[in-house]
Amino acid sequence: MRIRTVGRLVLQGAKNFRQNGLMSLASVSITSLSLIILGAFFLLIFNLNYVGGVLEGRVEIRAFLKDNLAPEQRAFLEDQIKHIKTVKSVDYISREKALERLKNQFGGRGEIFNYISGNPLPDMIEVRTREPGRLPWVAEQVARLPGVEKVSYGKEFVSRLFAFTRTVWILTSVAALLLSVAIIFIITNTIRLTVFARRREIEIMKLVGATDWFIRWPFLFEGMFLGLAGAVIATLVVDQSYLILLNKAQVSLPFVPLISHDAILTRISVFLMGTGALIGAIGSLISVKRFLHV
Amino acid sequence: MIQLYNVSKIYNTGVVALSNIDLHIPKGDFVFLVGPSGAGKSTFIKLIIGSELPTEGQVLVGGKNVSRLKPQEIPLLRRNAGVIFQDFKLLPDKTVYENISFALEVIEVSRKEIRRRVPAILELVGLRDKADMMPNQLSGGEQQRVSMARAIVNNPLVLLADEPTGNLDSDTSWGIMELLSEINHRGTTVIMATHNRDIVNRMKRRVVAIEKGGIIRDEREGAYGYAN
Repeated sequence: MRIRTVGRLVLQGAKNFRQNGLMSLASVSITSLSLIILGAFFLLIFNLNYVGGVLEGRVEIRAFLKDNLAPEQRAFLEDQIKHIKTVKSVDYISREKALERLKNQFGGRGEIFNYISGNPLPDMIEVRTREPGRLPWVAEQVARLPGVEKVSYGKEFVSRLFAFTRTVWILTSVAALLLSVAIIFIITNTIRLTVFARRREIEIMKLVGATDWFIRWPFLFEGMFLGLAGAVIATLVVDQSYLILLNKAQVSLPFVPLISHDAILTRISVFLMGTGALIGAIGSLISVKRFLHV
Repeated sequence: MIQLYNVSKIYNTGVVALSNIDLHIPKGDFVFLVGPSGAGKSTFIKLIIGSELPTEGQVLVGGKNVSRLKPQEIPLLRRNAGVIFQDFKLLPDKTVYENISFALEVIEVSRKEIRRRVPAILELVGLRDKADMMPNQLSGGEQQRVSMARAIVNNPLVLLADEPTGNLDSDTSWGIMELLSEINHRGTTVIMATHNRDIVNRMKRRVVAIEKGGIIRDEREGAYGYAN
């Protein structure tokens, strides 16, 4: 295809878009709205995965020790734990230190512990592993050792988080499917109007031997314009909203890890624009198909 | 030029438009297709430009078997077959010049070539001075000349005319026939479906009569042969 032809076909597509004013506007609005919803879903999923990853990395085994363990018994126990496969480090936390840490976590409000008499916490050993995946196995080994009262690790929480993420994924897929159908529907209808308005031209183009692709391209461009315009609006909205959300979250929920802005938004933008253009193209191909049989 | 071997066309509706047609039209021929409405004349034209495929048999145009063409080869076939219709099929929002240049633009003829060919073809059909007019400012005969110009501007091997004089008065029709003869004289094969007995009888060209989907008569220097 000649360069001049490409220019001509793009221009014709832009002209269609303009001439179809109100319907174009409706298409772009619906498309952007749908893509905003999709974008929000994907941000949620990315963040859930991210949080899951971060928490998984932090997960450690806490082995609570029996009361009144002699120091040499404890040292022997530490040594035994160190020799379990994939164990990276072992830290002894005395009950006093544990209480101190707990107070610190409560920040300025630590004084409530002054009302508790004595120290309810046991001594414990914190175990970090090299492979989070081996955690359950390591936990089991530790639990068997003499002197260990109880073992706990964050497995339940992490696995629940991942289950939740899976549910969100399924919801997102369903939503994506339904919204795509909605976008295709509206874009198909919009382009059908243009195709109908230009059916005489199409008929003549067919008769004088224009190729099907020559006839299709302007409509394809129109559809891609519609989809892209919607995607650009959606990207802006999703972008800015996420920025605002990040700022607010930093103030009110500082301990929740969220993905930083730049990394994720480039991906979301590319995803939304790609989806918009692709769906627009599909919609236009559906509209033109029927009219190409002359 | 055009060969039909045992061609039948049965539409999905069950209508038998053509059955067992054998016909050879050599290059440079001028052929009238006559017969009652619904006899299969339009189907014949559609088969030649590949907008319908035969249910049975072979249609050869310029040595190529139309039913064996790939979908993307059909446009190339049409660039070699100009078509004109009773209702002209001009684009109402384009000038005479643009209507013709449009046909070249969409098959990607260079701008320079378009600037050369369009005035020349307007000269041939006698509309040089009306290039900038809109179709609705022209008479029926003039509009048909524009559509003929559009059909032949790409130098097709064959010109197919489906009732080209159907909407025109007698004098205007003769003007169109003179132009068709001129085009034929330049070497283009002309096939014209018509109901105009006067024209057929006076032109004394080959006449192929189709009735109920079959050829009932094929004569050199023939006559219309129906009482109308």
